[in-house]
Amino acid sequence: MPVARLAKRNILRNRHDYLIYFLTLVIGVAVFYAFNSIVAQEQVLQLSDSQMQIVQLLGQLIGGVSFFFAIALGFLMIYASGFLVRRRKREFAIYLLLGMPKRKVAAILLVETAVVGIAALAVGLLLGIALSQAMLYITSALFAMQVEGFAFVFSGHAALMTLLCFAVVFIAIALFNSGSITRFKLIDLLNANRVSQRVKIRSIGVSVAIFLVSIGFLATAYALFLKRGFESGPFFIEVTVLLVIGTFGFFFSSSGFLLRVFQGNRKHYLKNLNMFTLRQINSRVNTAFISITFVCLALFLAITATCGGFSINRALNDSLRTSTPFDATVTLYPVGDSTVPDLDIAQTLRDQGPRYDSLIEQSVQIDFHSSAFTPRQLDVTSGYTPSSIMETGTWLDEDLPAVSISQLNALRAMRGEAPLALADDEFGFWCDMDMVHDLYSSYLATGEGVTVGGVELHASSWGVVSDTLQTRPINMNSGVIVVPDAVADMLGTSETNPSILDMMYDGSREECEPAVTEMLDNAENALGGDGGYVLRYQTALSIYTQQDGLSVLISYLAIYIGAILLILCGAILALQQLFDVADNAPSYKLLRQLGATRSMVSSAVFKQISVYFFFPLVLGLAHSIVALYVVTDVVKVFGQFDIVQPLATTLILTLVVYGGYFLITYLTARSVIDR
Amino acid sequence: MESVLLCKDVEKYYGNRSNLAKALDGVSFEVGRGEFVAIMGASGSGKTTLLNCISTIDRASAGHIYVNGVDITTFSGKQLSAFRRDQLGFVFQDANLLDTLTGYENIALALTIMGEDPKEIDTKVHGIAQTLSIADVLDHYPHQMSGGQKQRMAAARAMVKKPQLILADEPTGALDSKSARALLESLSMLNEELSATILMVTHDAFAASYCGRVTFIKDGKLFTELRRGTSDRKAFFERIIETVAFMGGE
Repeated sequence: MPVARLAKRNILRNRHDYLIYFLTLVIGVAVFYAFNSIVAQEQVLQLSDSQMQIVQLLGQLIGGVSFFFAIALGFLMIYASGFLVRRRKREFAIYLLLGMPKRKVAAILLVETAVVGIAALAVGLLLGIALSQAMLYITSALFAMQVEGFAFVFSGHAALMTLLCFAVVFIAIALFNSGSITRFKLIDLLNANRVSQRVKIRSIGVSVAIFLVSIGFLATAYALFLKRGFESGPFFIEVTVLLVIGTFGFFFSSSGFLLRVFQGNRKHYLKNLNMFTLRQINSRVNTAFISITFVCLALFLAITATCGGFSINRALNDSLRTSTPFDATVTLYPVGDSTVPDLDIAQTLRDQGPRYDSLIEQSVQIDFHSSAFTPRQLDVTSGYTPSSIMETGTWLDEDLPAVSISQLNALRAMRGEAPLALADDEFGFWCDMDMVHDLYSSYLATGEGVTVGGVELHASSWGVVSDTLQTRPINMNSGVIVVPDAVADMLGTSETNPSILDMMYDGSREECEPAVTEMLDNAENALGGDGGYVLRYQTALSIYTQQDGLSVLISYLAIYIGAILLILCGAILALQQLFDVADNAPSYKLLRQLGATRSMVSSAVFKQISVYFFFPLVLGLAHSIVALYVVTDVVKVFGQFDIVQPLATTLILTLVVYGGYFLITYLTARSVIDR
Repeated sequence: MESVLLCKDVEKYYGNRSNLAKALDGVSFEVGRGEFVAIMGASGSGKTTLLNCISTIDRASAGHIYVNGVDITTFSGKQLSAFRRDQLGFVFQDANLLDTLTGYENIALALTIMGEDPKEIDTKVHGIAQTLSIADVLDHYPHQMSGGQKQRMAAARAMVKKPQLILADEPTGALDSKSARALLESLSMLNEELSATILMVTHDAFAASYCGRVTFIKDGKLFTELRRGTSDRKAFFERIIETVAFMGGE
């Protein structure tokens, strides 16, 4: 029989074994192509320069991640085809026995892998093109723009890259397979199915000891990480090492531990097929714990990266709502070494052009004064622990600027809020960052006052006010002392904090934006910096546009990294379980002969596959929750946010990809047993 | 004598209309309670097909098989599992123990599948292991046992649930002569002391000589039958050899 016909027949006969292999390649190719073609979308989307930059940056980042993805997928495929070869040893032995040269056997295998590989590549590319088309509409929605009519995007670059990567993977598999065939010994091949597997037996006592030590390692890693967070230094490596060793030990010993616990409970151990299921899991975990550890750590990364990405996104978007109450903010920066000039910004702008009053309805200027009072002087002894982030940098030793009460009240009036009362010997704090808010309220709770400009001031009745200072991507007013006007007049201007002008348009943002930006651009250019200062401005709408781009960047990266890691994990476990079930088909047949019902055997298989899929998921999730607890502390810099929704989105993604693999594995396994 | 197994005109065909092979061609026979019966025949005579039909692993094309008066050829799905679980015990050519389970657990498995009370399991497993002299290897895994020990372990697994009928398919096929003798003596003892009903398929005259009755099958049909009666095992062995020689020469 010619090689091609044999290969075709073999593929059809082994279609169950090839299914997962094929599916993983298809999904891999599709995701790989779709994300790498993102840059090509700029052809049909009318992107601004800043958006274009973001898309190109995204392209580069995804390209980098894809490189590792391709390598990992390559190893996975080699692993899978290794299994396929092992399962068919007897078949190859018969070819060799009939006098077929090893070269030809290798050729058959090569043709089989090539046919399945090329089919998967073709289907995967088609699916990838469909997926990238769907992503085009998502991108345009995220950038808040319309796609005119039907636009078709095909990225030759991405297609070529996909082809190239998978050609390399394929060649690696082909080399690996022919290598393993030439090493075959006929006698081993023929006996392959007869040799009863030797069960590696590990002393149960040792398992229990290792299990307890691993739990200790994990607990230490968690505790250290929760306490020290992302502080840099050798300790971060310690946590990582503890976590990896702990995870490794956990899977190395947990099945033995579990077995011990169940054996202690005769009633459950000696019920139905429980004994068989547990023994089966135990015997396999002894050899599979390395890949399970890998899967667990990859799941941990996937969940943390995806959820972390979504959280930052969410925090940014949430804070955007509160950080842009004004239509625009103009900032007055000194040039060179000069100090911030004492200047009426509104008047300066008015001098530049006649349109100022027709475009700007209201504006309020805020000037900062030097108070010579640093956050370190806020001696808070009890009830408050500063976030580790506040300890880094020099913030604690820099001046808290002072602002006069009348400017604060003017700003409040512009937003339609009641003025705050402040007596001549009183002060208040003004801070719009959630994470430092508590520092001020805790200090006020101690009853201490502050001395500014030689005047002793007591706390006002309102204490801390959290109004937004200016329109920005995120709230970043980490603290200002609000003082009576008389005190403010005595203080010099702040060296580090430029004056700002918050303004409201005379009309809607969309209507006024073009004219206002034109006017402000002109003023920026005209004032140049010759007078010892420059003006810079940010409008709420320009911030939204930038933010949209950042959202796209973070969301896509989070989903991409999460999805590929989940695909890898799902594929590893699915392959392992299916080959395992196929290897153990005689055992399941025996159980049926002994009178176990079909549902008893199915349920044993279900339990076994569940344990393999969900143990690493549960531990990975536990790692993630600890990591995310610390991540949220970092994310809080961007503003208060709710972790529930990002976590829910991540879990849904996990459930769909990982759960999908679980379901396919179980259904295929059941059909293998029923055969 | 009360009959445990009754086969009536059992037929089994393979292939299709144009190319029909009759593996069993109208086989009828009976096994009474407490009997130890051997079915002998050459390769391809149909003896294993017959055993597979009785054990419900395969389905007869025609005819009826009654176990304890119930026709098992009409069974389907759950009834088949229940029948195999409650009424049959198997001993295969290669012991077919589960590699991942200890000897104790392999025997206990037959009971847990039946839903036996866990409290009873310990006593029953140790009891049967004592009888078959394998109590000392109960904690071993199959790969730590000799071929004979594995085969007796399999016999214990078949016997522990006190089935109506034990089916043994070439149980000595993979054993050396010493282990084979030990296993056959164990089977005889199960038959004599615990009144187990055993139907054994074999092509080995020596193995067959341990039985009370030998049925010969040839080309899918019953050929003849020998009863041991009062003669000793050696004499019975001679008679079996004569019959085999006669069958082969015909």
